[in-house]
Amino acid sequence: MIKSGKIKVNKELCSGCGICELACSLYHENVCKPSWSRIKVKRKFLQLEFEPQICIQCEWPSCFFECPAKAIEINLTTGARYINEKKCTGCAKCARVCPLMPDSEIIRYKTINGKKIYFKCDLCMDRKEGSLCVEMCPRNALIYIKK
Amino acid sequence: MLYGWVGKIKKIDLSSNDISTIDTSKFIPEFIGGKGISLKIAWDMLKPEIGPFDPENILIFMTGPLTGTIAPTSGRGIISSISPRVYPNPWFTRSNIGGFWAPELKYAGFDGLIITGKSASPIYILVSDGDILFKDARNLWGKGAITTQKVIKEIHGEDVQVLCIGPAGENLIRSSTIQHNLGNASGEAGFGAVMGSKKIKAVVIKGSGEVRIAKPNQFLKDCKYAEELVRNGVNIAGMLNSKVALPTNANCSAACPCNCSWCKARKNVPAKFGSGFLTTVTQCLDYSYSQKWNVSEYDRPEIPDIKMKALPGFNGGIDIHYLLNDLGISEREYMCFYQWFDAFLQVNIEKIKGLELNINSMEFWFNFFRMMTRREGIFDVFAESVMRSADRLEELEIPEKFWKRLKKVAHFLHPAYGFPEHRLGRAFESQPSPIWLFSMLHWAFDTRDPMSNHHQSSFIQYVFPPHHGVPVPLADVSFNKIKKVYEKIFKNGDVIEPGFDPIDGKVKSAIWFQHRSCVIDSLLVCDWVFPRTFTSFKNQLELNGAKDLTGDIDVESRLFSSATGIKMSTQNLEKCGERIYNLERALHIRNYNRCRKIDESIEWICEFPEKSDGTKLNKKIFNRFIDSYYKNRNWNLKNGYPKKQKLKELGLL
Repeated sequence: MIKSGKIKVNKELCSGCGICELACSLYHENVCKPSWSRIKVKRKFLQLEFEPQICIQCEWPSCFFECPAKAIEINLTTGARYINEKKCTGCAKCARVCPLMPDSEIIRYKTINGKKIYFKCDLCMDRKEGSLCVEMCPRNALIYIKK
Repeated sequence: MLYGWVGKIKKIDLSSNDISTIDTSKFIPEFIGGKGISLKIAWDMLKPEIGPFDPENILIFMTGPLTGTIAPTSGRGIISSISPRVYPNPWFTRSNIGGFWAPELKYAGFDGLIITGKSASPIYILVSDGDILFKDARNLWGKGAITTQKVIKEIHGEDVQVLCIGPAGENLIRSSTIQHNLGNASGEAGFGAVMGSKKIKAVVIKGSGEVRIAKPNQFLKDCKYAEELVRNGVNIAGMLNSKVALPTNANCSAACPCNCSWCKARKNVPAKFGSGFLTTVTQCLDYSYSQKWNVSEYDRPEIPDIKMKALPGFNGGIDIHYLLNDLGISEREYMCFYQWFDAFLQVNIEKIKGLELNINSMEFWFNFFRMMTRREGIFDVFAESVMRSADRLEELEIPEKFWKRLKKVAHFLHPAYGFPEHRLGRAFESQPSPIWLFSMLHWAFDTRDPMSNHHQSSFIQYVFPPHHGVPVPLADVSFNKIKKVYEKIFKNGDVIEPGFDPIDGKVKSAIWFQHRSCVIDSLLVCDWVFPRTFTSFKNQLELNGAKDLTGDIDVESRLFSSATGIKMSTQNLEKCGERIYNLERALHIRNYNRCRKIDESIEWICEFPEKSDGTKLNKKIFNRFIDSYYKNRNWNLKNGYPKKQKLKELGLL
């Protein structure tokens, strides 16, 4: 199994601004829409606790092995485990088998023309400068670790 | 298809339970959003005779085209209504508030909410992805703002955003706030009481929608550029640090990349309040009034009756902040009551109808504010805020010989419209000339403490001696370098010379700041950060070595254009700012008889010397400023009404 780079989260440094969520949805979906972001900041405002949640790119990804449509693919350059949206049938198997869910929202879905399409972090594999959320985080709470 | 704006403003009438929709497209791009749209709505809906607690009063929660996007510092919203705080007669004004509610409102599908009417019993309004529901809030009535949020989050989930009032708002305390999260507040205008009068305990917002962007790639590029400008290193005020991350910091608002002094409020927090406590006003007062207050500095004989003292509860302690945020009372009210009661003690009045003025004891203040929110006995008078209490000294059984003095102190603390002194350099922080002159011009024509105007025009103070309120990191920035920036922006560097002249130049630059403040209050972005008159640097060394400190004042128009797809030059955006400023003027002339006489109400305090450099003015010079201002605005010299020609030019007529 080819190894993957990953985004490491230092929640102590996160200030909850949500720039990562907005950058992610803007880059991938062309809209500012946190509910369509591949990274989610879990916020407890009254305790001032903030925790960005993002796919940890498992070495042996359950989603990859379980997807009946073989829609989870692996990018050879970054090693990112990503969902090929064209192949996704919306069966939710990946979300069910993800070891981090449901505590963290790692794999989410969007509904387009009545059809569910799942998505997750792909490390911005087609972006030559690398992951946008890491670049945009003003507090260095996100760090990219190469494979 | 609309980009930037989501397209709908909901109007909710609580008396008739009618909910209707207004298209945002009616107002754009002329009024931008936020303050601009709110004013247009007020112009269309508010009749002159309506008071703050009348059911017909409107409470507007408004966002801007940049709210909810990734544009730096864009997570803010603005609340407008008739303010019960305004003295002597309430009028329409606004209050900018940060946090996360404004983006959420857009994700829920609305650019704004207009609430009118009055509910028969306490409710909270649930705004959830296009739906608006009224929920019973009888069990929440009487609860503190922080407790209320906890209860609501237990019902609707941790992710909902809550704007709510505490007991102060319920009991129509004139300085009550609308609270959000731990320390975000719509603080100064007393809108908590307006919400209380409508029997709304909270507005709960939940949204999973989107803000569409016209040119995503370009917008991302512009945002990155803007972010570099605002967060990269040391700015002129020495406040925005680079990517220095302190675990103790938290942003006050969504999409803010800055690490400014507001974020640092989480330091030294006692464990009993959980892992942290963030409040913006706390930070301001803490910073200015505990560490930097030095009694001897303020004990100036030229300023009669006022001897400023450090406030108890600010020196590292946060109990009082927590109390005020929970009750929903503006912290500046505490500041003013403290100084006012101190004036009582100076004339040996130690008791007001049995209430011992133990103003240096925290116990006193805890009792005071709790009793105030219940309006029991004499606290019914104090609930009307300092200015109105000063008119009711007879009820407080104060001997008549002290009335004049005590009223004067109250007035000194609230120089105009019933708002606490801010950046005039008289009662509180020092503001050496010409900074207080800019502030004076903002105060003269605004409808409240003109915070969003004078924040930017005041930042240059940090290179003037004495450096008050902020450490002195900028001693190496010479006056000439600052002057160069003003030369570039205003084509006249002399405007920041300490004297009165050139009056015309000073007036012009004040007008520019006023237009830009309308723009930032409408987009909405943070008035601490925009407009970027000055740039920022990676570190102090680079700043010291820099030849040019000029920032980029075109950032807002770039962000606006790429987000909305509507091409807008900086000049046109400023024109929108001018339109909004004139609309506010027109509304106040029509509804509240605003005129030259009211504009002159700030003049008296400027006859006292500024506390650090002793500069002051007289009626004659003040009138020269006002004349020049009216001329530059094309307003009538006699009464300050905008001329027809001006209104036509702005498309308002």
